Amino acid sequence: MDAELPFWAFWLIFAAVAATALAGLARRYRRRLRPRSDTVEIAASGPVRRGETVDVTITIRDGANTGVRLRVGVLCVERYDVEESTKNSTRRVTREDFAHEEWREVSASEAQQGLSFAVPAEGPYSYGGSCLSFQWQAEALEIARLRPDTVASCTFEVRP
Amino acid sequence: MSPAFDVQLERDSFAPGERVAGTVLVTEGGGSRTLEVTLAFHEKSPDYEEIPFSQTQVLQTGDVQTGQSHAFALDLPEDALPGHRSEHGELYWELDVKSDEMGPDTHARRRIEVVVHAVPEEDIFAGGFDDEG
Repeated sequence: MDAELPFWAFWLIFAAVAATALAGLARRYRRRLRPRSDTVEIAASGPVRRGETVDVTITIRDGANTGVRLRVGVLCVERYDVEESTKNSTRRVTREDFAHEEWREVSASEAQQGLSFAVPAEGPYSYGGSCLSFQWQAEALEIARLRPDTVASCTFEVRP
Repeated sequence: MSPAFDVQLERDSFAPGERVAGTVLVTEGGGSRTLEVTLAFHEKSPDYEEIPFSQTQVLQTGDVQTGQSHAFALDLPEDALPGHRSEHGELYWELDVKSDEMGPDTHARRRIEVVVHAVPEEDIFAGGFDDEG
């Protein structure tokens, strides 16, 4: 049996590895690269304590719009520093993850609407440290066909 | 020989502003330049650690003897934050007894819990005023 890898198999493996790497990069940077919405505004009450609810208000500036899907969420972004190794050195980088997120699909047919979200009693509180931080924010995601999703967001404070 | 210590507390849970008082018991005597206890708030990510707040009390200078005990009292700040552990990091309070020695220092560490109790605004005057008849 020929032990050499066939030419097409090499390219198949290469394409799979490249696709996985690109998908990972896209997942990491998609949120940051998402354009800001110029039609939706979002506001959140606060400060709130853990275990309470936060009231989120969505306003669609140009009135009701039935052509888009709207997702509204409350999330806590955890930022943490790690040491990343490069070929010849190491560097300090900040990574992001969600310590909490809750999303709801809402109708875009009303120009203004309010929603309440629970802030978990055992969840993180707002904290801005040197190597670890927790930032609470409310986001409205406009999902439309044939154009990139846009986002409106605001931060609010969660106290212990 | 390196000394050994035991940190003794009446309880492990405190409110912001409370005094954290206890005793450092020397379970094994030895050479020491200074013995001190530090109360600190730690912030920890997978690869880094910061200490945004710390307060230190010196307990003794010179060698320590087995059976000695040293009382300490350190106050938590009024705005002390509670601990929290997440997937990528941790915030916590810790008492660190350090014996400064020639060579590696000896540490005895003990974590404490800070619990924040929310006081509803309408309950502020629930206990009444002191000068009420």
